[in-house]
Amino acid sequence: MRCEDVRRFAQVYLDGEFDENDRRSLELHLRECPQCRRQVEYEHRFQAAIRARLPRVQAPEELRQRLHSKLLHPGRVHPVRRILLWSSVPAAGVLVLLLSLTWTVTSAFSPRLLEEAVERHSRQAPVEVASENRADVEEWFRSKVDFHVALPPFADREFRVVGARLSHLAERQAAQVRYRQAGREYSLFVFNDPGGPLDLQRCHRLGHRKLCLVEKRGYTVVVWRSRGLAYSLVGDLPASQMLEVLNALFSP
Amino acid sequence: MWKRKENKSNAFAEAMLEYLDQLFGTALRLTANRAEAEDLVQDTLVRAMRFQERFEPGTNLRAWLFRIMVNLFATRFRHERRGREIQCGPEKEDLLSNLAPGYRDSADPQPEEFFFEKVLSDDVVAAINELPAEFKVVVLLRDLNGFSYAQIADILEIPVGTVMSRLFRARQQLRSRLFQYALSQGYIRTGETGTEKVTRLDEYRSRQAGGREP
Repeated sequence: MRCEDVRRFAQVYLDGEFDENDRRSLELHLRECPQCRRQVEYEHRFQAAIRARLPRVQAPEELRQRLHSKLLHPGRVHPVRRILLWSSVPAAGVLVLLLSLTWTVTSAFSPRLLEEAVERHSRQAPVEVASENRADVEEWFRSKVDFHVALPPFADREFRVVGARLSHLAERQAAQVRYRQAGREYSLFVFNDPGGPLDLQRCHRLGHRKLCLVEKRGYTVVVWRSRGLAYSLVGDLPASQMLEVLNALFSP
Repeated sequence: MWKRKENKSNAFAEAMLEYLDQLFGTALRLTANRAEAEDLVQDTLVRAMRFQERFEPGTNLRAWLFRIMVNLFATRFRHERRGREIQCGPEKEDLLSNLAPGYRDSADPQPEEFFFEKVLSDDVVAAINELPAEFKVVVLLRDLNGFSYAQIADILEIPVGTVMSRLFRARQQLRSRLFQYALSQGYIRTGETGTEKVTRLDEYRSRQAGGREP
């Protein structure tokens, strides 16, 4: 083995990727060549320094628990499916029923979608674009999502945009826009309307809009639809007060 | 029968969760964002669960999970920030063309040569964040997770030779960036490094060209 080969392949040797013959040949060369020995030692110290300084992090406990329950107890679909599979309903009927069940769970405003909206809001992830300008935020999303992020022209000027980030809800792309009002943070999620019924705990009419509210983990999620998009506003106020906020936002 | 299938699924989920820390640690370095890393890991495991039938028992579950995660990362962040873009350059580069900064090819070692032993963990993380995604991923798979070249080739679906070349170039870039950090943070002084030697050589040549004595 020549010096040039040693230089070329020092890292490969140190990564333990040499076969027995190559390794022996390189080590024989090292015994005779102090310069190559230095080169290999230099590489070795560099690799060791990088490895020692790459932090080994632990996954957050909250993520571990969430995944544990998600993967090991994946919801109530299984027992239902089991009953259907073992019932005497004809196969086609089972299929239709299963499809409609699946559609309810994954396509509409499913509990999972609402749960994820709360989760993403509560996590307080940093915004990717910071701006108080509604048009700038809409523009920022233009090349990033496959729908036009049309932010509602809220009437209350104190309800201010602070920034936005890309997000996703139940495997759907979503624009997450953060607002602030009177020291409180809100997240507005905008995503393609998943279709299906919009019947949550409480629904109200505000002008031409139907707003539905659900309380989860101390947060309230308000959902409404407009022009093929779905909107979901999350805040930590109780439902009755959230409704008052919405009233002010949509007042003519 | 259902119970048996459920038990099998739970066992699979538990086996996957064994690798949660490694997946999260890598996702965090890939995305450089905690929330995105959590999302990436969650989506990886949910997807793996959904396609668990495609996993061949007896093969490497860890490598299979990393493969799913890296693919998801590449798809999700393809159009995002520049630092995450998959940047294509010539794969076949002369591996000797880019000598290590600070390295002095002499029998007289200087402590400044080993500037990388003076930098901090944060410097290494920052330097890795700046690497192009294709380089970053090979460094993370090799140096953070200890995958072999063949496993990395399998995860990234590229030839082993390409892994070798990307890893080499990634480490070279890492070394250059760390060298700059070490200089800017004052861990080393310019006057005592290999780079200074190069500068002096340039000066020497320009002086020669000007007809003056070095």
